[in-house]
Amino acid sequence: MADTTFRDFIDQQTAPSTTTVDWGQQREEWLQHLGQFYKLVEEFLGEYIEQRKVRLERGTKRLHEELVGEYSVDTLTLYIGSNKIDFDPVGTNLIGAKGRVDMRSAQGTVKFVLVPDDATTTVPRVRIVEGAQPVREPLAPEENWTWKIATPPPTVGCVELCEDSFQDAIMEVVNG
Amino acid sequence: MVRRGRLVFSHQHLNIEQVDRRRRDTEAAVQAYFALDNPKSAQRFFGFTPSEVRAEKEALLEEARRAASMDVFGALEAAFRIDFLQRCYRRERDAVSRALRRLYGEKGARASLEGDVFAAWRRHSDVPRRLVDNLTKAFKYRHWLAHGRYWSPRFPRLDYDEVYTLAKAALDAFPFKESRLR
Repeated sequence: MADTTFRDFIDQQTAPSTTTVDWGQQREEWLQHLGQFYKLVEEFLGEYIEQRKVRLERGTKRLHEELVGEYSVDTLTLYIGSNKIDFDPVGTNLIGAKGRVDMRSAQGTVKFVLVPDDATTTVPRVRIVEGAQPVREPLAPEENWTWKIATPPPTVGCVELCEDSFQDAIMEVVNG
Repeated sequence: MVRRGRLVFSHQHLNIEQVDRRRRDTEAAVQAYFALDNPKSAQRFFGFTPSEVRAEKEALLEEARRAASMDVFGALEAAFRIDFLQRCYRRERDAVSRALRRLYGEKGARASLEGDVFAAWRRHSDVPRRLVDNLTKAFKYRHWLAHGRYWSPRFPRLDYDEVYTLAKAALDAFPFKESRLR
């Protein structure tokens, strides 16, 4: 009896997902974008890395995400003087984003999110529609994913990721 | 249709800005308490390494954020439910109100938020499908938090910032009958 129950459980857990999302493909895309994000970080800090004032160290960790499964992902650690700043990839099964990396240090966390180019956190005002068929807005095309900085509450939004905003983010997590 | 007594509003429903202010005050207090140079916590952390103190601080902050997430969900649910009932009590004539009134006739104030109220909005408004999908997924996370987190969830676990961002987007987007709900 117990064996049957366990067999059912295993079948259920290993059955192909009925969702329309191809999680394998999404995972690959997220990992590619993550590699591009780390290249950006190196680019933003290039001058200081050359001067040996900043040191970058690569690592790996295992991520387990529901529906996506378990996989290996690159991590990055940044050393500036005695400060250690970790870039921690969170995953791709997220609401409103295709990927997220948290940058953590002693005084705080800044989140980098992989979102469509034109992403905003605001939604147009909902209109009530008389009649049987509601008007559906077409979904915005999402081919162009880009890394942005998610601003924390109460001012929620996304800030463009550039050298200046990245440097501000580093100072924020180190100095608070 | 069953005749139902009107629910009396308490006017004590939460507002997400208040929740967030309290969350920020709590985090500032936790940061101050766990500061390595705070003499008041020196005895509590006697013999700890800085990383052990940091780990305890992070665990406490995480629980505080989850508690704040629950309050944000509570504020969001209250906004939808008050709007639902107001539309029924005031006998509004628009398509959403008519659908919600039919729902109220069948299930009263106990209608399900995700299964019934969101569905009425989806059928009778131009609410983006993605917003309703995200709200539905987010409320699964809320149930996971509220019911003791004893199972391994098959949906994305949200952090506080994500919960707040989604709630703010929804509260700004829906044309709720009572403007104070936003």
